[in-house]
Amino acid sequence: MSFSDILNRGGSDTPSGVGIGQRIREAFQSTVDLFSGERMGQFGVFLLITFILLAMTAPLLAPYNPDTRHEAEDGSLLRLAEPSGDHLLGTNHEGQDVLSQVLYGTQVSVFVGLFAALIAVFIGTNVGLITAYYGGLVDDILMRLVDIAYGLPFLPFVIVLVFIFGADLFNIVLVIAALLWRDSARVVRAEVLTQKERDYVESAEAIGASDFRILYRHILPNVLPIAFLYIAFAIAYAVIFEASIAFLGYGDPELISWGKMLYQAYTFGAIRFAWWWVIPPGILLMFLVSSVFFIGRTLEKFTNPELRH
Amino acid sequence: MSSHQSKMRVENLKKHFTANQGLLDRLLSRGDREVVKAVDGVNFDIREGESFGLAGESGCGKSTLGKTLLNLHDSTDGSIYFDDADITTQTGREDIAFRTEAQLIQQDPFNSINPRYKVFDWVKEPLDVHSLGTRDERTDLVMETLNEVGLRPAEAYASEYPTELSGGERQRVGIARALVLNPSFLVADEPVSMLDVSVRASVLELLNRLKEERGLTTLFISHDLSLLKHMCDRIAIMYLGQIVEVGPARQLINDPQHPYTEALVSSTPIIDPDVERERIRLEGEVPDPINLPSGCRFAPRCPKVMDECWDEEPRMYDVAEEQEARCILHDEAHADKDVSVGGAQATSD
Amino acid sequence: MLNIENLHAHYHTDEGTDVHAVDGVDLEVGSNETLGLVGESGCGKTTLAKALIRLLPTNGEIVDGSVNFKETDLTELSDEELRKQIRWTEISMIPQNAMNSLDPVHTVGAQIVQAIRTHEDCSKEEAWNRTRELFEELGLDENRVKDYPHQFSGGMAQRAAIALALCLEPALILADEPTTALDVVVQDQILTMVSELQDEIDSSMIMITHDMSVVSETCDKIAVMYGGNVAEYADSETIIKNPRHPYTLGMRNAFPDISKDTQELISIPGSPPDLIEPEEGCKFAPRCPFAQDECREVTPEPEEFEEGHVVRCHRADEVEYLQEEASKRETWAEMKDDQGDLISATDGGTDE
Repeated sequence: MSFSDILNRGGSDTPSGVGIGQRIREAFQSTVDLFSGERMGQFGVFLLITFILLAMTAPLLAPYNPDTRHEAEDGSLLRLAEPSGDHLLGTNHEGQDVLSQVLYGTQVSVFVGLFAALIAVFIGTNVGLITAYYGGLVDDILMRLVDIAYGLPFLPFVIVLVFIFGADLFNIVLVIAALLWRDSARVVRAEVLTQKERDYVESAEAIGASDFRILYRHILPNVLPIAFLYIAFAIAYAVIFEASIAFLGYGDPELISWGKMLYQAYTFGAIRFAWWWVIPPGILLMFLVSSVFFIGRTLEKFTNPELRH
Repeated sequence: MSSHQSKMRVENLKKHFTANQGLLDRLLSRGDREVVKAVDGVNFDIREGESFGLAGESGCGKSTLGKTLLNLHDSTDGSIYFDDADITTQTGREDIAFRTEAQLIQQDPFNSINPRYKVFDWVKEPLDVHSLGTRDERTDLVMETLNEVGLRPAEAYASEYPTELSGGERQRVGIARALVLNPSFLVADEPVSMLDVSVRASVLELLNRLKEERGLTTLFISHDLSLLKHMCDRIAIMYLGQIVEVGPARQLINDPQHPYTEALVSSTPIIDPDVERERIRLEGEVPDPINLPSGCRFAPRCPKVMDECWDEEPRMYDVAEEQEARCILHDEAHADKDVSVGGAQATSD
Repeated sequence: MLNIENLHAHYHTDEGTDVHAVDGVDLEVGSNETLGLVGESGCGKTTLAKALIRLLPTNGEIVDGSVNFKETDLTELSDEELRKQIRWTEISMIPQNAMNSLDPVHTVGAQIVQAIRTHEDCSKEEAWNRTRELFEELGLDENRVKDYPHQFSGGMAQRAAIALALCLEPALILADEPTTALDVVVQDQILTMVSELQDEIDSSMIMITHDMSVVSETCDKIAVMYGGNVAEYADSETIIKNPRHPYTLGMRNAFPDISKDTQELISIPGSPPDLIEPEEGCKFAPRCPFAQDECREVTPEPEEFEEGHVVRCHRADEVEYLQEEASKRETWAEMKDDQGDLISATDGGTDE
């Protein structure tokens, strides 16, 4: 019987493996297959790629230096000019070209949004998995940490950290991630608590699967949809947080972001009439967040076969 | 008894659960601990190649016992000898070896397969976990096992997700996963209770066939005495964490010697309209296994309770060939009383 | 008392197809009679019960047939009339899961009292006394009328749900798997008590279950359902001892009987049909070892054999042959070989 043959060999064999390159190609192909026929997912991917391209080519596309203060013919500052041939999206209160600002702002928003959200949800998901699965003291300690993260006052926290580490973009990403991981940690923990009671986890224990395997091969795929959803949320928050930080003067002063533009428009009281200044960053922000959400939805179908029918 | 080879021997096994406490209570170790004695001093011996049935009402501890036997729960006290080695003290390598030898078949076909796994990956996983065989060998073995449990053509089933399968098919997938490591011992926890009647029989047929062909030893946990009577060689009846009676399947059902077994048997409805059953009314329901009565645990509900029953916990008495019951009616002191509690169940062939 | 004629109930699916869950059922329930509806999941037994009192989910619809209850066709009544005159007062339901049917924010007693006083003109005191009496009859401690549902165990909650269903002394009780979730000891107690109470208030009952042994003991008549039809209908003793339909014969083989010492459990191959737009022909034919060309092409009509024994099978007149052959394992096993695989699940039950 082939059973005993195989069993007797034990673990000394390495499975005749396929190369890692091949695996990646397969995974890529299956992801492509997945999105075929999924309008929403395709749209999301299209948007996200557009944003990344915009961010990369902003210096080429932007008609002006975003910091340049344009002047009117009479020499005064060209404040709040409506869209025209020279300034397709008008100018802001300091006479800067809105289109150029929006394009440059894409760089900061996409970078901060994506990275802060990914780091936050990565931490949150792992904390959620571990606390819920092990429970006991681990749970107590980590969840008190989450409570503390919830209790952190946004402003003082940012001020202290930026003061200590300096106001560069990467530090801001970390600060935002440090504030955002708590949400996904809580939600993922709740989901893991229900998942770990399901019989398939017991089945994995019964065959002798390691904790690592149970956590990351069995439970994680079942909580990924929620994690994806929280990445979408976190991107939105991260972009807004970045804007607040920038506005308060703790941001990287050199950089322009959508959030900073909106805050400027808001504080200048231009939100109600200077539509050309408000709508472009607002809409792009919305599209960026929804592109991630659409991709998340499609991936959810991939990870959750129950949604396929 | 000595002529039989023992597969799994359990000595004074206990599994107690403490109710959940808050952080402060835990740190200061204060507060009254409520202890649920789910398994409380169980002794038995499952013989090589037999089907051993474990019955009782919900909450009697039969599932906890099954899981403790598979080392899925740490036991509180006592020993479990599997092939003469105590698994409660095993760690590392020995524990891994035990994991390939003893497998679990679960009750709920809809919850027990990870919805993100295809049938093939689900059945193959045990081989991955224990790094057995090459990739091709694993594939062959999975296909062979799928065929063996009746999922044919195996290739078609292999690429399905569990959501696309019926309850009976999923249960077969679960059985295939348990078999792929070629175990010698199975714990089947209510393996057919959630299946339709017509499908149920086919899964039972499969389990019987596997027992014959592979010489498997099986612990069959069920609340259904009719089923156990037809599936098992011997049956043990559990009540509040203890075994109250054990004996050969047919003998125990036809002639129960413990008042609780008698009540269970007499409560089971009979299809054959010609057979009348004598009904025994039990008082109340199974109490919580937290505040156990002193003396016999069944005394508060027992129709035959005597004053002595409250004094101390009865031991197991030999009541018939290979049959034991935990009831002092069988003590010599009561030899004059009506010991033959049996005969509750008329039989016909 | 209850007369169901040619009842058809369909569920509409998102794809625009119809599931013919109840597909032409004729049944009768006499007064103080207990009818057992037996069948596997998806055979239409629960849909039938819900259709009787028109409690189908929103995608369900009675498309044809009549339900005559005490000379009234229930399918003709307005929702309002049905609610005021029929449900609960005349026909009440004992649910499978009692905890779901009891309101968690009111005491159990208060719920029963409210039910009594909404439908009957009686004083508060009288209603409470009746509630206490009911509690006692169902084996519940009458001092617990003021308890909330969560303070009850599963068995006690089931008794309370029964008290709630019977407090208005309905003429017909629909019991949908009333004891499936309970242990045998409690099941036995409850079934006995329900039978006693049923006699006392002189009502009829339809007991829905998959458990042959329960219906055999508690029911006067049994209707075996398969694929939305009644495959066989007769008094319980006939169904158990002298069935004519191959499906009934198969179910008997598959069900273990505790009173037997030697019994070979034999399964029925395949799985139940999905009932989406069924084609002509006997629905059991794909799983039936006795199926002939006629069975696959022509839907059998109900045919009465002895008095009150109705069977829907083309070969029901060959009763000795069927009973003889059906008791052999080979009959059903060879059947499997014909299909080329053991459980032939692709014939139904999956989405293929």
